[in-house]
This record gives sequence, C-alpha cells and structure tokens, in this order.
Amino acid sequence: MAPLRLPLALRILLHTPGRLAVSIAGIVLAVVLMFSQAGFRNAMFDSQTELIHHLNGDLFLVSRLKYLLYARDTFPRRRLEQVRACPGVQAVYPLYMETTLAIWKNPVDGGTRPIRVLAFNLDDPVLDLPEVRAQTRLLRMPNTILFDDKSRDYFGQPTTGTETELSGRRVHVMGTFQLGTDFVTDGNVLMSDRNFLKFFPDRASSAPHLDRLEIGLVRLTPGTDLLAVQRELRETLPDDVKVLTKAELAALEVKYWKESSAIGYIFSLGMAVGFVIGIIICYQILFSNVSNYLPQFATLKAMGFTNRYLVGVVLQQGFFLAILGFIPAVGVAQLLFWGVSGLTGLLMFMTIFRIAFILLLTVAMCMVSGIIAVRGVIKADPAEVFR
Amino acid sequence: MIPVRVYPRSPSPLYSGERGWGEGGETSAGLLPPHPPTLSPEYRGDGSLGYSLRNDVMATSLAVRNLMHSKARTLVAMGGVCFAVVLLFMQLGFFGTVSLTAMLIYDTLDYDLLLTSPNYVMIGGAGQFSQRRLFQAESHPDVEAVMPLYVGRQVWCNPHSGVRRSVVVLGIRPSDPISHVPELERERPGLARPDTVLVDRLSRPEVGVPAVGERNASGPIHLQTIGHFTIGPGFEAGLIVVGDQTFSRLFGGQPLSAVNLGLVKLRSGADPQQVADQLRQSLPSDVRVLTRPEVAARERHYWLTSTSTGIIFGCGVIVAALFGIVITYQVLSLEVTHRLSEYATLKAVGFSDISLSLVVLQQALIFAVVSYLPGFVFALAIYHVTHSVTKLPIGMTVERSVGVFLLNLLTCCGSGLLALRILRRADPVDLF
Repeated sequence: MAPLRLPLALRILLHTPGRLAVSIAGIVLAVVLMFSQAGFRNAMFDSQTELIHHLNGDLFLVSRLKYLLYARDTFPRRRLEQVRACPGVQAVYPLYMETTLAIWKNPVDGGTRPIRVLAFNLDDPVLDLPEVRAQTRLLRMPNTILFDDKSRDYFGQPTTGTETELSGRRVHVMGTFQLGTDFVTDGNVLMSDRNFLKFFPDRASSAPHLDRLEIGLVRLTPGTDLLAVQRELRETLPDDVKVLTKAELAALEVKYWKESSAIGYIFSLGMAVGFVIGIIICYQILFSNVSNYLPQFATLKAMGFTNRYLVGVVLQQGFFLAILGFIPAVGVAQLLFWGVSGLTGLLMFMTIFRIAFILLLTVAMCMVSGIIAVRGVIKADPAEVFR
Repeated sequence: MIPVRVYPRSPSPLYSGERGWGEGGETSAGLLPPHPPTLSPEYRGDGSLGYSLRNDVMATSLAVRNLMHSKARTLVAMGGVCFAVVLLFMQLGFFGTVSLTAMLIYDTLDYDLLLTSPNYVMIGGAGQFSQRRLFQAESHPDVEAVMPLYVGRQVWCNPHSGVRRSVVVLGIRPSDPISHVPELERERPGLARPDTVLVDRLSRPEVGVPAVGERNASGPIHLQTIGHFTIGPGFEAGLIVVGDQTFSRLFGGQPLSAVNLGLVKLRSGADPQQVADQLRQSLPSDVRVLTRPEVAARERHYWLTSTSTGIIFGCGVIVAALFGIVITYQVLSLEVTHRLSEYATLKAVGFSDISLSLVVLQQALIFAVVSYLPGFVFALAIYHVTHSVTKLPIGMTVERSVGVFLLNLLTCCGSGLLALRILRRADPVDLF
C-alpha cells in the first residue's frame, strides 16, 4: 500500500483515533468555555448598545448629565430645533422614552411588569428597522403600539391583534418588530408621540406637552463633515446638552457597564478566569497527548533526525489539534449562544475578530505546550529513553 | 501455599520519578512497589483460582506510587481538575450572589408579613397601593404594628466629583423600628428633620459616600447626610434611607397615601401563615399579603428566572459543571489508559479485577482530594477579590463546598472506573 501523503504530525495523531478523539473533546471544551465567558460579557455590551445602533442618526443630542441610556435624563426640545437651523443638518428627530411608569399587563395571566416605551413622530424615520418602517402608519390610530417580539416571555407574547393594558390604558398591538432586551430592559413597545403624550403626561406640569425628550437624532446631508458639524454644534448650543457621534454614544453606555456596574466587573472576572482555565486545559491536553509519543520521538532522534525537525513535528501536532478542536467548538458555542439568547432575548453573536482572537490564543497555547512536553526528548540522550 | 514473587523490571520509581520523564523512563516500574508483594492464591466465588492484594494498605501505596512516579504529569493532570473545581466554584458563587442580592434589603427589615401591590416585581419596582389597606390590616387583632415603606429610584449627585448615579431610596416613618440593623435604628429618629439622609457605605465609589454633615444634590432637592449604615446596594449603584416627608419632596411632592410596601409586625405567638390567610380574605385584591418565606421564594424566583443576570449566571453554572465533568473524565481516563499495559501485566500475573479497581479508585480518591484543596483556596481568593471590588454578597457556603467536593469525588472515581473497563473487557495478552 502506498504511504498516505499526510504530514507526520497528522499521521501520529490519526494513529490512535481514540486518544485523538479524547484530546479533541478536551480542546473543544476549553474553547467553548472561553467563548461562553467572553460571550456573556459581550452579550451585555452588545445588548446595552443595540438600540443606539438602530437609531437613524449621524449625531445625537443627549442631556449633559446623561450617563446611561436607561436612566431618565431629558433635555428641552428647543435645543433640537436650534440644531435644525445649522448648515449641513438635513433633519432632526426627537425620541421619547419611558422606562419606569410604563407597566405592561400580560394579556394571558394578567400579571404586570415594567416595559420600555419608545415614542417618536411617525413622520420621522427614527429606527432603521424595516419592520418598523413598514408598520409605522398603523400607529396613527389612538392607543396603538408595536410590540418587540424578542421581549421576555412573561409579557404574554402578544401578537398582532392582541388587546391589553399599558399603564392602566387599553392598547391594541398593531404589529411586532425585533429589537431585543438587555440587563435593565425586559421588553420594548413603540408608539407615536401623540399616544405617548396621552399615556405618560408630564406629572410636573399641568398642560401635557412634549417639550422634553430623551435623545435627539440629527441627520446630516450626505457629504457633510461629521466632526466639523459636531464641533460647530458644541460651540453654538448651551452646555445643557452633549453632542455625540453614534460611536461616542455607544461608548458612553459601554463605559458605564464596564466601569460602574458590579455585573460588568463579574463578567470581566469570569472572562479572565475562563481564559486562564481554557488555556491551561489546552496546555494539559497537548502535554499529555505529546507525552504519549515520546518514545517514538526518541526513536526518530536516535535515527538521526534533528531537534529542529522534532520541534517542527510537535508544533504541527499542536496546530492540527488546536484547529481540529476549534472548528467543532465554534459550532457548540454557537448552539449555546442561540440557547441563551432564546432564553433571555439578549444579543449573543460572534464576530470575526472575537473568533480570531480565541483561535489565536488556542493555537498559540497548543503549540507552546507541545514544545514544553517534548523538551525532555530534545535534552535527553536518545539511549536513555529506552531504559 | 506457594508464594509468588513479582520483581520490578527496573529500579524503584521512587528514585527516578523526581527527575520526570526523559531520565527516569516510563515503564511498568512505576506501578510496582520496591518490595514485591507476597501474593497467595485463593479461590474465587466462581470457582476459578486467582490472586488478590491481601490488604488495602498495599493498594493505597501502589496508588500513591503511581501518582508519584511521574510527578510532572500528575501535577499537570491535577492542575486540570483543580481548575475545573475553581471554575465551578466561581460560577456557583456568582449564581449564589444573585439570590443573596435579591434578599439583601428584605433580610434586614423587621417584619412578619409584607403587603405589596399586585404589580410588585421586585423591591426597586414595587408598584403602589393605598395606605388605607395598611390601616385595615392594622385592625386585625394579632397585628401589633404596620409600617409603610416607600421605595423609589432617584438621581444622586456625588458630592465630591459631581458624577450622577441612580440610587435606590427607601422612605420610612422615622418613628418606625423598621430594621434589625443597629446603626440604622440608632440614626433613624434623626430622619425626622427634613432633607436628611442615611447612606449605605457599601454604595459604589461613583456615589461618593458623603461624610456626616455633608450636603449634596439629589433629584430636585439637597440632602444632608446624618449617618451611615451597612446593607449593600446589590447590583444597584447605591442605597439611601430617608424619612417619609423627605421622600415625598425627593419625588416631586408624591403623596404619602400611596405606599410601595407595607411591613406588618405580629404580636408574639401569632401564626404568620394563619394571619396572612385571614388578611387575604378580608383585604381587597388590590393588595397582596406575603409571609417572610413567601417573599424570599418570590424574590429568588424573580431574580434567578426572570432577569438576564440570573439566567446568564445559571447558564454559566451549567457550562462550568459540564466542563468540570468532561475535563476530570479526560484527566482520569488518561491516567488509567496511560498505564494500561502495566495493569494488564498485573492482571496477567493474577491480580483480580476488583483489586485493580481498588487501586484505581484510591488513585481517583487521592486525585479528588488533592485537587479540591487548592481549588477551594483559589475560589476563596476569587470570592474575596469580587467582594472587595463590587461589594456584592459573595462567599463560600457549607452546602456549596460539600456539593462541589462530592461532585468532584464522584466524577474522579467514575471516570477512573470507566476507563478501567477497557482493561476488564480485554484479554491481557492483547494488551501487549
């Protein structure tokens, strides 16, 4: 039989398929561990900034004091009207938000839970979600809303046509869209600014009004220099508002969760420990896998193969094991992510960068541990190996 | 009776083991004691003639020698199991924190029954009900006192840096003996002065716990700190306690007739469950009556199953447990398969399956105990660091330490025996 034209490292691995399977299983687990811990942490950042990424604006006006999207900090609408006059500004859209007074009644069991209500002028394309765009006109009727499909199950999973109560008033669900939850928001409701005014009148003033808003979206005419407009707005507007780009607004949110929340710290710690343990397990598996073949390596050495060659084989062995373990691990991690995001409505996804980072870590560790394991052969006199 | 002597093939591993592989060599030497055991033939139950290790001491020493033979390998393997233990402890600690956090405030309050709105979700989102229900409850003969509790979230301005954070505000009647916390009880009457506040010193650094006498802005008014207490804000940024009049001013003149929670104290000797049932019958359905255990169950249930935090940490525990089991299996089965030919030799010279299982079991036992101890210490360190940074309630519990130990033991022994099965099925001759 003609010898297989496979690299020696691969042939060594395939020689004992059982052992190879056990080693791969271990690496899969270590990689899944790293993915899951990193995934939990990223789920927090991604979910908290999801709304921001769907806002259809180039620049954003928020209260000077705003530190967290969820915490209510409104600013006068006059500021947004001032922006409208600036050169380069195509349109401005106000976004209203209510997080504490909005209480949703589960249409099935009657239980009540707070929910996040977002409201906007129906003529403004505030959210770049196609489902929302298509259904905006349905919200013109009084007491109508769109419901976020990814809201938690305990809101009663309303569908088009469901009737229930929001903060003690009857509402009709005209359709659904998909936005998702985060660590403070369990569900979302969209409505027109007219309805918002009716549902959540300002307690502090006698005449209902829409004078204060949560986020002001600024659209620029295509081709305008974003940063120049931002600078100009900062100079013209009083300092009760901040002018932020989308990235800066998202960074503000991430900064809060990363630095000022206990949960952010826990996720970071979990990720650090997960990575350390994942890497140590990779080391352990490679170490025992390579040690199994030490007599064979010693034989090669005795036959006259150079240390460099042996190291090359071990490096390849580590590389192949890492890759063979990594590929199924990505699949398993993806399954886990689907499961968790299905349960919680949080965003859990992988990006090329995140995958590449963990891949790099795994491959590097596997190769390094292979070298450590084979050190004995390299140092030893071949004759001693067979004692 | 003819004694059978088994000689090692090379010098005792006790002398070469320390140098590890490459110098000592991994032969059957590691498996056999330096002083060959004396074996006696015996009749087994099935009528066949066999040999068994006469006493457990020998099996133990063989297990120990197996582990000591290649110290580097054993250390690496134990490291694997140890980290699986650490990971499980860490995730369980985080998960436990969620339910501890849920009960932080309730555990310090002095009450027998709790009245809540039907809209109640958790303490920060308690809903409202009429104060009238409290008075109605007070008329029950077994009720000694009722105390309204107002709960809200308000923006708090750090007096030193000006940073703003949302804190949980508890509003109490300054005359009500509301808690078990001595400091809070001592300072409580002072809250009768308007615009005074007691601040939880475990609040996050961004909140900037003010010294006594300092004033800072909060919501629409300025508050003066008159004392501190220690409860812990949990996942919130901070926790403050104010008098009911201050609470009303803090929330733009909110009427005190709408309360968020009602604490009911019963006369001594009254059965809380019985009184709760009676109150449920007499009070309208716009208020709920809960006993202490019911409050605990509801809060835990809410935090563990309905919040993203609880679900994510729950998933973390599952991942960690699966990870631990598979890694431990892997490590232990490698330990056994690695010496399969040595075990086969023993089997060939007449050792029974049971005595070999005993060796493996003891090896697994040592593995479980030795890898658990550093894992336990490591976990304590992680708990300590987490607590000192986040101020969250996190700590080792007896149940958790015993549970993880047993799981570790079970996995270790199970994996070892599972791996040994290959040997049991195999003909010793085949193994060479």
